[in-house]
Amino acid sequence: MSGLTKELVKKISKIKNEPKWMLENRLKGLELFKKTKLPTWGPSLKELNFKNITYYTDPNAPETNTWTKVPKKIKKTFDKLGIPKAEQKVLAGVGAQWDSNIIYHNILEKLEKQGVIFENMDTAVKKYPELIKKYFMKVVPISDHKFTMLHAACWSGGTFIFVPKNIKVERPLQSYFRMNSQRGGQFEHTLIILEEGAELHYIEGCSSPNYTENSLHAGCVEIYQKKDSKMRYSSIENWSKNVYNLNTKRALVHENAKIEWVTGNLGSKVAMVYPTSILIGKNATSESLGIAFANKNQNQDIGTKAIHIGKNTSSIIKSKSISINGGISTFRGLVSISKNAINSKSAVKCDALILDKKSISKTYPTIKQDNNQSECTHEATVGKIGEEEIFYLMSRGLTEEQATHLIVNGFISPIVKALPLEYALELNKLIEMEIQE
Amino acid sequence: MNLIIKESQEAVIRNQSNISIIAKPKTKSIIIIFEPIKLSIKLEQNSELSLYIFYKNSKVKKQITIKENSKLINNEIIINSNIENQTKLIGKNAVYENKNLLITSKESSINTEIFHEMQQTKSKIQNRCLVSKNAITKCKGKIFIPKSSIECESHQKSEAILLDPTAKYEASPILEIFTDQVICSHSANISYINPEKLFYLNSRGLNENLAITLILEAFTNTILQEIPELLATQSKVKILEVLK
Repeated sequence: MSGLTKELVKKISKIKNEPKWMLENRLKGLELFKKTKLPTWGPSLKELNFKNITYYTDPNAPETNTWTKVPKKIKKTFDKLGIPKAEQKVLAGVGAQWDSNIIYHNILEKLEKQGVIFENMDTAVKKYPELIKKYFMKVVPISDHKFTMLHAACWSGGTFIFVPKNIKVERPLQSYFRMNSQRGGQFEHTLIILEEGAELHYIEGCSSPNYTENSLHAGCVEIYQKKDSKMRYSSIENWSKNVYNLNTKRALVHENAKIEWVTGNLGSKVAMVYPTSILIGKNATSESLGIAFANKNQNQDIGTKAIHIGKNTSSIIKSKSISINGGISTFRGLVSISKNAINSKSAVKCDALILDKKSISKTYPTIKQDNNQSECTHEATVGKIGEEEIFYLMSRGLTEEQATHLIVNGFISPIVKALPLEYALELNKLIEMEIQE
Repeated sequence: MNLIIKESQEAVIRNQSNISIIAKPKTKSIIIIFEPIKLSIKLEQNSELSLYIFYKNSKVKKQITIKENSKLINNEIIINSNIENQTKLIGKNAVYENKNLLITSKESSINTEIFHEMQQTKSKIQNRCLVSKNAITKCKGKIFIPKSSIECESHQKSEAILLDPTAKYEASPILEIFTDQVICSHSANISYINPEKLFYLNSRGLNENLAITLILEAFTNTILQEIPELLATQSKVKILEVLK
């Protein structure tokens, strides 16, 4: 279903058999989207033709909890991505989305008995209406920016996770989003609620095949963390190089709670992703580790935001970017310490590596501090791989290519180490392939 | 006022709002300026200029161009002012070193843009800022290095101490780098007078007022020590007036 109209929005809502408030949300999003202009800052989005995008594609596969029931063609793709294998080995639950709808969902029985909910977002709207209505698009309001408006109008699929009080999910839960149709749009909604003292590691993977026409990913991630909860959100976004990845990720972190963002952005034509932590409770902390890799014709506009509202809050932001073959990598960060956030601390460090003369690196950090009992530091460096370093490694028997890989691996290793082993290996391999291209 | 420097000289300029300075080749001069509003500075090849400026309650536009093998050392004391500074390094080996001490008790800003338009150019900016009661201070810096400007070096550093719970500070140091053969860095630090530091000084026999004065002196002296005594003495008096 291409082109975004009121009829289409109503149709999506009807297919999903949604409650009235959700349809109202969608229509409000559509109305605001039409009125709002494209952002004037950041990478150009002029080539993104909203009339050409297919806003809803049903994979014609009902949701199941066994891989044998998944259509062969779809199963083959997920096999190649290693999802069923990873589920057996290291994960506590898996969700898999093909275009607009979730086609597979499963969670360990033990967790289900403990009250952990890991559900397709469409199903959750019907199964837990009060809970969803209370939290849906509250920390990311519909009116936030043009692409949250679009997301509100045509969101489909995604994941809902609820972890009850004091439950610690020991193995990670994972969702994998695959955008397969040409000129497709994927607008999955991820809603995670951690009750007091709960702990969770959630992993998100994204990919798509390469077509000649542009595709759009405008997902939304909302995380609500209550007192003393701990959350790690890891994502490897490896969209194909015709995708506009305009994802919104935000966490509301209460007293003594901790959020960790570990993000790797490799694919996409244009990526504008800025995970945000709103540290609202006393002693809330946020740690953000991010890698962006920009190859030919790619513009990776990535960054992290930390909004300190509660007292004694702290944030650490570490960002690494690599540009090669004319790619543009940008760090766009914000640290804001409000008047009441006394005794807060923030440290930002971003390093950029430019691998050739054609490539570009940009850094736009903003630091705001509105009280005199807090401390903020920021540092950034931009440079290339030193000839001496390459020469030293080559004198030890490595080829120039091997030496470059080794240095790049060393450059990103502080962030890769935060990923589970399987994903760390995958990320290293993906970056090696990008450099060889 | 137009000042064309043909021979090395030392000069003090007061009561001039619109100033244009051209430093001719092979000159090495020291100029002190009090409270200008518009400044245009051009350094021709192989020249060197040390420029010390004092601003108070001013809104200033400053444009600088530096040609081949020339160097501008530009240290400034800025009290409650809004400064727009655009510098273009248009000759090989051109160097720009800029140190600013900002003292603010109301809304103030400094916006420095440096364009490395030629290869092997260097720039270094250091801003130190004391923000007092009800003041809002914005410190912006932008370094732009185009594709052709290889082997450039640029560093930005911004440090602020907030002296009152109502003080606000915002820093945005921007880097736009279009080539790989560069060394660039920036850093920003916002802090306050740490009670632990005060306690340490108190335990050494200094009362609180004296301890605070010592900490602030250490913070400001990095820049005050590098300006001529005439300007430093006057600046210290004005700084104390504002901070009181």
